[in-house]
Amino acid sequence: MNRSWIYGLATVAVMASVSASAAQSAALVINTPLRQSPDNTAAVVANLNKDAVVSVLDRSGGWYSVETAQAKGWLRIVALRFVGAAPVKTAQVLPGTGSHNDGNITVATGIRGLSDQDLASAKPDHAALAAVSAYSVDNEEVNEFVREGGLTPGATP
Amino acid sequence: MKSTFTSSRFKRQLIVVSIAALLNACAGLEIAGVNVSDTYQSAKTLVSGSKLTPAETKTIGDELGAQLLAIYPPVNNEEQQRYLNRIGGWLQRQGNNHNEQWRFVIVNSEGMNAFSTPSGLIMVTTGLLAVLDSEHEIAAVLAHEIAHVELSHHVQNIERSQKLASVAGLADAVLSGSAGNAGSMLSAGVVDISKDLYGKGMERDDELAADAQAVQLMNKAGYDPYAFVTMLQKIEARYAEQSKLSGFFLTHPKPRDRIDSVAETLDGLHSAAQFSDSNLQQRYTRIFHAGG
Repeated sequence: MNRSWIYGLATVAVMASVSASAAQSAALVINTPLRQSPDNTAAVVANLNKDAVVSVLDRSGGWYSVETAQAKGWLRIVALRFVGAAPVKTAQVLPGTGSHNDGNITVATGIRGLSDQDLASAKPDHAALAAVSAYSVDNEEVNEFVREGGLTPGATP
Repeated sequence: MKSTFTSSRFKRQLIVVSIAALLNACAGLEIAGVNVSDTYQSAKTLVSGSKLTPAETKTIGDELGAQLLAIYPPVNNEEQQRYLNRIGGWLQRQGNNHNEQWRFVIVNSEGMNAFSTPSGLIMVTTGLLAVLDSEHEIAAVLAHEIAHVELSHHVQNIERSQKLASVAGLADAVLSGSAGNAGSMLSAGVVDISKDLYGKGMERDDELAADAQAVQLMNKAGYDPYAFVTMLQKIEARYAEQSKLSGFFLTHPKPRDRIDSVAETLDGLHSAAQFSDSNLQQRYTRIFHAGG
């Protein structure tokens, strides 16, 4: 597999500013410096301890903008965990569709957890398999999708 | 190759020959949309311990997919399904299997989860989509599953586990003369494989390898690779409350472990493509939150 592209990427910086609709509480998982800007070399505004609670205001690439009662600044994205889940918006995602409650909620993509009973009792639905195959898209549709979204491929070997 | 199923290679060969004799007699037989002869070939492969061919992988993968879709029915919303296929198709084209026609499906389930089969069928539950907030985060989920297929994790899992018990069941049923039940026999074999893949889960190393590959695919496609972390953090925020529901979580990588692991890959990316987040957010909102 050719992975050389990851070493030859252009120097365009990630500035994926993702606004939070409302400040969300988070707790630090490690001791970490709070910096003036989203940069490892930026001045340290404060040193925060593990378990300190912050409000997350925004994100820029691999950095969160946060504030505490005493200070405001930026910290690395991996330094915190959110406290309390935002409301789930199932009804908005799928208006008008019922949702199967498997009664055994699994919690992570890539993590499984279907019960043996579910798997053993399922009668393979080949009609559904054929139906979902009809949703496949061709190269032209994909290319148009990429143009519309303004996605710029990052691969520059 | 060692087997826990039988003490005699001769016995295995006898089973294979016996299945062959019976299935050859009904060559081309198709039951419930499954070519029984192909299935026999797959069974033979598992018994003999050799590698799965692409055709066998496709047969088994699609049967696994049909089984999963019976548990989690697809959502009847063409716009959302096509949106998922466009994101997935673009990510897939960044890898080695860009000429294959993979399928991406939103399925109904309140549980947060995503699945893939070795034949390139990738499923995301409505419960998981409901906690995500952007096209980038959807891409993160799909990229992880794409990576599992790209890295042949399912195939390796099947080959490693040597589902001889499943094949034994298939053989016994066939030998007992009930060829008319071949479809259900196949299902029985697939169920055993699926219990490993979708019940127990992948190996921890496979999960972390898929995460690392996923952020690379995202970066190459022009998606924000840090959305992989935000996706995991949203799952992590619900982890404590939901982990009480099942001991299953004790045996799998926790979101925090995955975040720590993938952070190393992100540090090595150096940079990523620039993108217009407003365009992506507008269409994400239009498709998932119109009128909401």
